[in-house]
Amino acid sequence: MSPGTWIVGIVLLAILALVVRSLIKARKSGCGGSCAGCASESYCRDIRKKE
Amino acid sequence: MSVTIALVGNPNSGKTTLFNDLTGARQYVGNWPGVTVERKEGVLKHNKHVTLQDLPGVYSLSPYTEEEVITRDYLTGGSPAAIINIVDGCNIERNLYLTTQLLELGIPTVVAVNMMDVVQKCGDTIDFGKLSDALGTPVMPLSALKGDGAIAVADMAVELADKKRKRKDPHVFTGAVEHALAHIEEAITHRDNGDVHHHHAGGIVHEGTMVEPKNLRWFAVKLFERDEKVIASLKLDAKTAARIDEVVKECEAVLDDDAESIITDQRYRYIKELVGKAVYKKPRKDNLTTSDRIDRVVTNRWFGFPFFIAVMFLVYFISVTTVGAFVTDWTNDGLFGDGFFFLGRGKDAFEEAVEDYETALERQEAFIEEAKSSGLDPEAEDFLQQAKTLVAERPLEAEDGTVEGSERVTLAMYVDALASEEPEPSAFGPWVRGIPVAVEGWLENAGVATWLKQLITDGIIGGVGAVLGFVPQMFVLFFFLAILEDIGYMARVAFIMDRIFRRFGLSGKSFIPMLIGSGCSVPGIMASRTIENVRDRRMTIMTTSFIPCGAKIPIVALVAGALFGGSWWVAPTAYFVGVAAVIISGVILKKTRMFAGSTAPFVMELPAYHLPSPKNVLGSMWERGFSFIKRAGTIILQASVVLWFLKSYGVLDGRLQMVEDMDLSILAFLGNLIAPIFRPLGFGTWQSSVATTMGFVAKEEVVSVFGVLYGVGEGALDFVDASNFSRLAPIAAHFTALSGFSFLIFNLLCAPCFAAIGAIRREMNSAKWTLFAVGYLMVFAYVASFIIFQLGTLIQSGFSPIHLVAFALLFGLLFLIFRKNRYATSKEVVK
Repeated sequence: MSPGTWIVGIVLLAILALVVRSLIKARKSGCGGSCAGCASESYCRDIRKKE
Repeated sequence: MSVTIALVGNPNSGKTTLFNDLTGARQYVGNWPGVTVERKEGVLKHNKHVTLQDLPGVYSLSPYTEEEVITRDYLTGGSPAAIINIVDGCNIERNLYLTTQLLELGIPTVVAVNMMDVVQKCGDTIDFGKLSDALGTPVMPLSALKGDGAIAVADMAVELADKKRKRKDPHVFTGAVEHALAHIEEAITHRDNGDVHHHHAGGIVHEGTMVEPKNLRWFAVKLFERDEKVIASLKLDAKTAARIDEVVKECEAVLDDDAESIITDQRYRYIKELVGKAVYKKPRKDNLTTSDRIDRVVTNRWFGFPFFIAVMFLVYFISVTTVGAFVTDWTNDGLFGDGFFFLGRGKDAFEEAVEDYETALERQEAFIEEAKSSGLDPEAEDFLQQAKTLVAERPLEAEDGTVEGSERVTLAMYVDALASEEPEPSAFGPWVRGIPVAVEGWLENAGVATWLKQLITDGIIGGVGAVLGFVPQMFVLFFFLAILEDIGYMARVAFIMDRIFRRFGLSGKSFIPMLIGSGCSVPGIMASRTIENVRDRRMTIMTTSFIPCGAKIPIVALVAGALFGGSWWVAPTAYFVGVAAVIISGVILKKTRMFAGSTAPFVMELPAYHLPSPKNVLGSMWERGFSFIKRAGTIILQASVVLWFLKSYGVLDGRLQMVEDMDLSILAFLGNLIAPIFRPLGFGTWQSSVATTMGFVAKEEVVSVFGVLYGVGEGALDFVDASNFSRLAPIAAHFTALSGFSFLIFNLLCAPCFAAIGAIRREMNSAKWTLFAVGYLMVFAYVASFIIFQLGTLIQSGFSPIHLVAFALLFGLLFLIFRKNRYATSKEVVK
């Protein structure tokens, strides 16, 4: 594989890892997991925090 | 030292607006009740030691609704250092009812009279000095929407909290009640019989005292009112309980009324007297405000609903078909397409050149065809000699595709056409390459392997770009919805819908989650918790996702563009299909034992109409729209990568390898497994089956799947262009207009995405009910699409046995709608 493939591949993997991390984080910190999929985070983020 | 201040007030009094203003947060603001269903926390922008708690709006501290329970539990248990009580200056009498209760809590309170701009505009005046003196606590003017007075109010609350200033209690009650309250206070303050009480009233244990001293007055009033929750929380011993009961009964006998009514009545008498002294209302002609006059038309019994339909029709038409499509044109065709001319310079000349080039190609084609049919060989060396006298006819098509004449193509014209070259956009003006083209070029220069290049351009840019391409339409839609919300119209819609919903046993309160759900179903479903009646709440949760959320807009735009040439009626239809599904489901479900019951009363305050605030409108639009951009970068990106692998790899000759033909891919294999389910609905190809199934991950995925399968670069989605949606051939090939409409209906009505199903699970608090809700949505969507598609084919191509099933389903549906309601008179069917 060419160096270009290696570099782009590693960068892409890093981006995907960051995305997975942010989804997991949103699930843990948010309203029972919906933040990761909810399209109105600010509305419901804190709703389940206290439960 | 950190201080916590609570924001308390009536629904729709402007608490969240003040909260956002003071904390810099962007909590969702809506001018209908129930927008804040849980308390929210934020830190003051100008004083980081102060935490602000935004509490749900309540009319009183009685424990009748979820919002009231949350608010009063927090105030008595959480012990904020101070309270900012927001009072709507336009409805001061009713708002002060809560104020009198809050003052009894003994927590330092500043009363902020909001909407002072409106009060002043009406010519009314408020004497803040008199109000402050009478209530024994600072009363200050505020205009939360404009930000006037917000910081002063917050600073005053902090000052009160720091000083723990002892307030002078207002004289709300008359002698007999005061006498009774004094006895009750005494009964719960002192130990009897040497018993040591360890009660957890307000979360604080006091030996000998059942409640914290500062809350004493509030607990006394609640005990006088026989508030069951307070009685239970204090765990009174028999002797104390009997003593309190005796005191209350004595007072009831004297005043000849029940305890709760006595308290309510005396509070209102006190407020009336106070307002009479401190508030001057300018006399109005016929006592009608401008809002009242507008409401005479807008909420009119006969005109209200048609007006609502016209407004929503216009909103969806403009958002998806006109302005939205114009902006999406640039995004899909330019940013995520081949490219665009900077500031449009050179665009017209280029388009003209493209048109000339296309004409030249058509002339070539027509001439060659004519030559072939005349027995000439276009490949022959002396072809031009042979075709000297040949004249071909090129059909001239109108914009709608109909032939409106023809052009004679001579040899000279053919030779000219042969010389024409495909125009290069950069020769016509400042040309900016689209993202896929630029990235592809860059990856090629970097020597990146073909598979990785394809993964990035077709998979990621294709999938994510397909969704992002529709974001402008979402922004336009959210912009108009935000204006409707901000001027106060959407609150009226709940009132208008109440009349319709009431016919099948739901109230306008059920429409509020649906209003919120037009952005995203998740908060819409969560907002249903403000509905007290459990059956109505369940039904609302089940039907909220029928209203198309923002993520369904790309599906609507895709079908409207690909199959209906951007027809004006498709997008508004999508919304009204949702509303109709809610109403039909309401009628059907309310006639079942599970959902039968009397209609809950619906009381809501209609806010005064006002000009939209740019800050609110743009804030709301950005908040909702940006979430979709974020989702495109997270969930959609992940799904696109997985989809690309599945569509690019297949098992050939017994081993996993990249496949050229998508039909041999793993995705095609999986899609073909589920395709038979959708065949009776008209879209049984593996591609559309995969798209529909992926819609459960996120509804935008339906569009994203097509983006990944056909790649943005190949022109699958850069269709919203001057050629009027004509370049969507790869997607359009999967559908006829009828099956496309069926596809749209199914995807609009079927179960929502996993995030929304999760929200249903939590709000239902039952796996059984969640399964029922999801099952109902799926069956409803399937039946609706089945009937539409099969009856459509009956009209188009004649009868076949499957049409009998469609008729049976249609009659079944009509029976469920029109059958007699056996539970119409039932008051309480489900315990």
